[in-house]
Amino acid sequence: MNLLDKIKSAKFLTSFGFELPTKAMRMVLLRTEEYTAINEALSQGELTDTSIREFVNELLREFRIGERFQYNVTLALLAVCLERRKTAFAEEYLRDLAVLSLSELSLSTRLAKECLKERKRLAENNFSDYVASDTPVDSVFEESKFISRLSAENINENILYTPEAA
Amino acid sequence: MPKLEYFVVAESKSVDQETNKVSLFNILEEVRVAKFPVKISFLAASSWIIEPDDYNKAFQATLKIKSPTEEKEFRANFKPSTTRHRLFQNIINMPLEKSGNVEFELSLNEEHMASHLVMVFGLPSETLQ
Repeated sequence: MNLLDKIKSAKFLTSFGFELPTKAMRMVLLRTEEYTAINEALSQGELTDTSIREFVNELLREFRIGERFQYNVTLALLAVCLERRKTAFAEEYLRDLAVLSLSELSLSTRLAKECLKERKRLAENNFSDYVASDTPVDSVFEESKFISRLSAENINENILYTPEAA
Repeated sequence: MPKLEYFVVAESKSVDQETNKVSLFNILEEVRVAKFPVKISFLAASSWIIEPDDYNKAFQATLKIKSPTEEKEFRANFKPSTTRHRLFQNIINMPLEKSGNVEFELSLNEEHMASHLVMVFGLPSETLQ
């Protein structure tokens, strides 16, 4: 049984017993061996954002309005797994799930909201490139490494800082 | 006010697109160049710890580079929204006329925060017989 099949198996889905409060549920999911295995597979490239997307689409085919979604825990586990992943898909998955207000998906939606809060702890990166001199280069220290950046500008010029406002 | 976690001048960096882990390569302390004048590129990396009260406020980090012959300033404006905010200021083709100390000074909202010194040497023009 592959890893993704494992997290939709009856054995996995019934291993949690009663539904726990959101924070506690997140902690429980973080401690599962499936969480560790999925993160390991993501870092090794054995699992990709695309394969998770396809897997989720397949699960959602079984979604029925008015019926409790049987793979709620699976979606919740994936939310926790994607929480620290800095990819567009991870962001999309968490945001799309967090905005839902379907009672059928309440567990995974609450987990996604919690994961988005935790995601706030991830570092933001701010890249600014400046060309100190645009005159012809006579002698450049490892010029080739930087030549592709020559046209770049400070991308954050639109943020206005005024000493009074600080 | 954001708290400076680290400030360092290096040759280059890599930020893992999936894990967001950062690697800095070749921290610059001494640079030897074949001849002057020369143009050197630097990467100034700083990391800031942000308190929730400072989320979405505008800040300005200024990198001042003092070489033996000139002084230049490079500003980066940012509005942090998470606990840690990294700034990567890439300075391309900084002209240097002669050997000496190049001092990098980082300030936030005009308040001095940290310095990093890079010593730039020319190669000896003659070798001893």
